[in-house]
Amino acid sequence: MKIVLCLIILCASSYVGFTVSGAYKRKVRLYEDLLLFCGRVKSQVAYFQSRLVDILAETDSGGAEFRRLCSETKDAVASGRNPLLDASAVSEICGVSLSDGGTIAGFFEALGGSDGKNQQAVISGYENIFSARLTAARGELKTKGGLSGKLGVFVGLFVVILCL
Amino acid sequence: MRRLKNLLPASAFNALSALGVGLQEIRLRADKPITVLYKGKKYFLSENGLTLKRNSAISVSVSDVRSAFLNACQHSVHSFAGQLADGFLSPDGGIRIGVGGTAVTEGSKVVSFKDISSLNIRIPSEIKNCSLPAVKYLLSPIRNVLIVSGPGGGKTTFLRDLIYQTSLLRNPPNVLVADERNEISGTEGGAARFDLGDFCDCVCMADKIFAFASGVRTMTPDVLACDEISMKDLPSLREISADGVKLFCTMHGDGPVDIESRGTDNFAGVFERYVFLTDKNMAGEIDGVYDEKMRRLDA
Repeated sequence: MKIVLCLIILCASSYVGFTVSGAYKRKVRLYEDLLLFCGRVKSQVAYFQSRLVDILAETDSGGAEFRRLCSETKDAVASGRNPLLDASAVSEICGVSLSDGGTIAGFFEALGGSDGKNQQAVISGYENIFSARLTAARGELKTKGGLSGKLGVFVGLFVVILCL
Repeated sequence: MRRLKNLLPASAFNALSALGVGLQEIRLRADKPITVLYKGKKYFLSENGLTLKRNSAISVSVSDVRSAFLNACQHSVHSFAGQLADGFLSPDGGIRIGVGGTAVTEGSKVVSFKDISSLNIRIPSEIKNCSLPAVKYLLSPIRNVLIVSGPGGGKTTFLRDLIYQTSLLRNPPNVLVADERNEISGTEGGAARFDLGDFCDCVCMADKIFAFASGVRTMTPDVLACDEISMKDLPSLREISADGVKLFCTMHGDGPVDIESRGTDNFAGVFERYVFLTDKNMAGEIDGVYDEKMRRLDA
C-alpha cells in the first residue's frame, strides 16, 4: 500500500513538473506559429488580396492554441463581433500573460484593417514583436522548462524517500 | 436583411427587420441619427421603426461606423482596394455601400479610405415584371434601349427585369452583363443572386471597357447590358452596336428634355428606345417610352 502511494506521489509530481515544462514548449510553438502566419498573411494579402476569413479557413496547421485563435477569429469575423478577440480570452487560451494576450489580440484585430501596403507594414511590426517574444520563450524553455520537469521528478522522489 | 445584421447596431437591425418591401437605402453617419430611404421617402430610424422625429432616432458613433465598415469588408479592407478606389464597397449579393471619409492617396490616385465617417447602404430589389408594360416596345424586335432616371429611380431594377424578360422570348438571345459594381446580378460565390434568366453571362467587378472589348469578343453576346453609362461610353457602344450587338444600358438623367439637351446626335446610331422612369409614386415607375426621335410610343 505504501509503495503504491509512493508511486502515485512520484507520478503526480512528475506530471506536474512536465506539465509546467510543456507550457513553456507550447509558448514557443505559439510564437513560431504566429511568425509563420505573419509570413503567410503578408503573401496572401500582397498577391491574392485574399479575405481574412479565407486565410483563416485555410490555416489547419500549428499548435492547438494557435488553431483555436484562428477559429475564434474566423467566427468573430463571420458574426461581426467587435473586438474580434478579447485580451483575457487570448491569455486563457494560450496560457500567456494578460499583456501578451493583449498583443496577440491586437495583432488579429489589426489584420485586414487597412489597405494592402499598410497591412504589410503592420504585420512586419508584429513579426518583430513575435520574433522577440519567441527568442525570450526559447530562452525560458531552455532554462526553466527542462528544470521544471526534472524538479517534478526530484520532488516526487524526495517525498517518496521521506515516506519510506 | 440577414446580410445587414453585422452592419447595424442590434436595435437598428431589429427595427428594420419589421419593415416590408420598400427599403431602398440606409445611411450611417458618425455621431448622427440613422436615416432611411423607404419607398422613395426619407425617415429617421427609431427602435420602433421609421419616424420623422429626430429626437427618437437611433444614432451611431464613430466607432459604430468604423465597425460597420470593417464588417462590410469582412475585416479585409485590402481585398476591396479596387472598389474603395472608386469610393464604394460591394460585399456580397448586390448590396452596394458608398463610403465617406478621408481618402488615402498615392500621388493623385485614391487607394483606400480611412477615418470612415459615413456609409450609404443601398439595398437592391428585384421586382419581377416591372418592365412588362414597356416590353412590347423594347423586345419586339429587340432594340437598343437606354433606361433613364435620377439616382434611386429604379434603373437597375428595371434593367434586371428587362434582361430576365429576354430569356422568355421564343428565340432568347445570349446576354452579357457588364456588372461593374455587381449590382445587376448580385453575384455571390459564383452564383447570381438575382434571376437574370437562363441565357445570361456576367462579367463582374471589371471596368466596362474590359467587358466591352474582351467580353464581347469572347462571350459573343447578342445583347450587352450595362449600368450607369456616361457620354464618354457612347463611341464604344456605337461600335458594339455596329457589330450587331444589341444594347441595354442605363444612364442618370432627368427626362426627355435632359437627354435632348445633351445632343440627340450623340445618341444617334446607338439607342433606338428610351425608357424614362420616375419615383413620383414609387421607384421604377415608367414615365414614358420614346423612340430614337424622342416621339412618345406609350401615350
